[in-house]
Amino acid sequence: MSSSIHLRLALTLSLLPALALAQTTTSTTSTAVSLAYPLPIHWAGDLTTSTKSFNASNCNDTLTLQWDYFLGGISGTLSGPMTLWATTASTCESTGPATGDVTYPSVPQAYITGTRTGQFSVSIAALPGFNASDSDGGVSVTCGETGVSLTHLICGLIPYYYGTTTTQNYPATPLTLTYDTKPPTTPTITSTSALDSSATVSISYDSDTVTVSSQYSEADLDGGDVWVDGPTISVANTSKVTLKELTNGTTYDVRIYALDGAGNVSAASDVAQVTPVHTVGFFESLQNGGSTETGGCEVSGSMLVPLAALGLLRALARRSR
Amino acid sequence: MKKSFAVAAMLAVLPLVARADEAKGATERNFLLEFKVSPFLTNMDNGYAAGTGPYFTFYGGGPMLLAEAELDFEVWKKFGTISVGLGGGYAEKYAHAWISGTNTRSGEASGLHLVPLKLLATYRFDYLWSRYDIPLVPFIKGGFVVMPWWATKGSDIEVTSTGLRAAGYKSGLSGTLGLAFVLDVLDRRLARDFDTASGVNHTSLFAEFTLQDMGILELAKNTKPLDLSSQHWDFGIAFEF
Repeated sequence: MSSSIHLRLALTLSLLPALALAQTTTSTTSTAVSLAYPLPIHWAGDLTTSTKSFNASNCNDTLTLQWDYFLGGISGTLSGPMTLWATTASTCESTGPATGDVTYPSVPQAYITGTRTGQFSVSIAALPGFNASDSDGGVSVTCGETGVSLTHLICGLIPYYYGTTTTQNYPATPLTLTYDTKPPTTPTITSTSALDSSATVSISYDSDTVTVSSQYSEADLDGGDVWVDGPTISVANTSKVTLKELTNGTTYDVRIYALDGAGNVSAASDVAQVTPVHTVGFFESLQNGGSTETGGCEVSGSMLVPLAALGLLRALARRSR
Repeated sequence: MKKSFAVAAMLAVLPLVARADEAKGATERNFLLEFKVSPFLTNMDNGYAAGTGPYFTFYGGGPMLLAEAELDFEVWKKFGTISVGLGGGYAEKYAHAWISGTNTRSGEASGLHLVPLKLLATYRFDYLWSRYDIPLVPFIKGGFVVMPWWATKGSDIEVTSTGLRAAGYKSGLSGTLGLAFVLDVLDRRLARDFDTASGVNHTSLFAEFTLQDMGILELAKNTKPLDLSSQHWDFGIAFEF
């Protein structure tokens, strides 16, 4: 086969994934987003995360955050160090930290353009919203307080020359830190579906919910329910929980809990009941209709013919080269 | 006498209107790639009274949608084209499983999945197109078919209450008759550009009818096997390059 044939075959085959192009573009968007903003601030534990939730158990923690400067993202020459600060305001101030904000060590200009990435530490307990004296906009709660949701922004900016002498500030894409000790609203079981040795539970939940956990128990047990943990699902993918390895004909009590991004757990939902049943799929239906089909993958005599033909085809292909 | 003279005259004139075998500057052609779809209904209900077959009872009788692709390597190109190739496809059909002992459907889906794989030899009578610009290409195919199949219940392969696992394969033979319409005739410049840019010499739309006899040996062994034989139409597009 000539190289031109190879080339044309490759060209033609390269057309095949064309339908998947749009999907590919979509799947790379998260990376492209970072590049679209020259100065994002991330949680160093997961550089794709620009929002992070925490709860009362994290009050003594220190988070490591990371900034990245994408060369060429700012048109102009930097004119000073990068300023980093935390605020309880709803947006980062364009002129830098306001009264009451907590500032972090600034980053020298040469370090920004030379290394183009760096990390800094943020103490949870020292965030402005947890210090009445440093309160920003009157927000102040105690770290450890329950039933509270408080959002901080971790902000940054770099000054640069706009023209020859005028300077402007370029804002970083902030990281959102949410102190959340407020549990999600109690979820609801909207319906159950009895399957073969399993059951599906359809649920509804509030927008704060990130995952849903489940528990089940045989109903009518003497001495009350003995709850067994079922699966925990991410509501980003599905709004149904499937319980498996149940016994057909046995009635089960089912309840669910909602969990938010900070790990707060809601109260248990109302209990629903479901009784798995034996179901008859296509193959068993075929059997019940008198078919003698047994399935299986044993190689029968008729397979030898196509296998021999495949060998012949391969030999012909070698010969044509 | 007059008639035979007229026929002889026509035959003498035909080569004058014939175009060159391949347009000048056309790239070499060695392969043919087909994409096709078919409303696919197997013969598994044969031998049952009307409306009582396993497929009709479970899936309601509507056909599956079979999507296939086939790549042929052209081994002989003189008076027509002979090629050998490989094909593969996929079809599925879903319905809700019955609640045991009742005529009530459950919430659990049960699917039948078929993957026909073919080794084919094809003869395309493209002489009329290559010599006389008549954009119709009849063709005939014959080959071997291996068809893995499986049935699912929920998200898993179905296992019956007697422990049988619903998966296997069937093997058999297929024969096909078809007719292709060469689209190049509609816009020759576009066809030439397509050839120059991507090496595709000809693009055709086609329809073909296939007789598929699956389970040549198995049918003799079982009284009522899962018969995946079929007689079906395919409609598709082909690229020769």
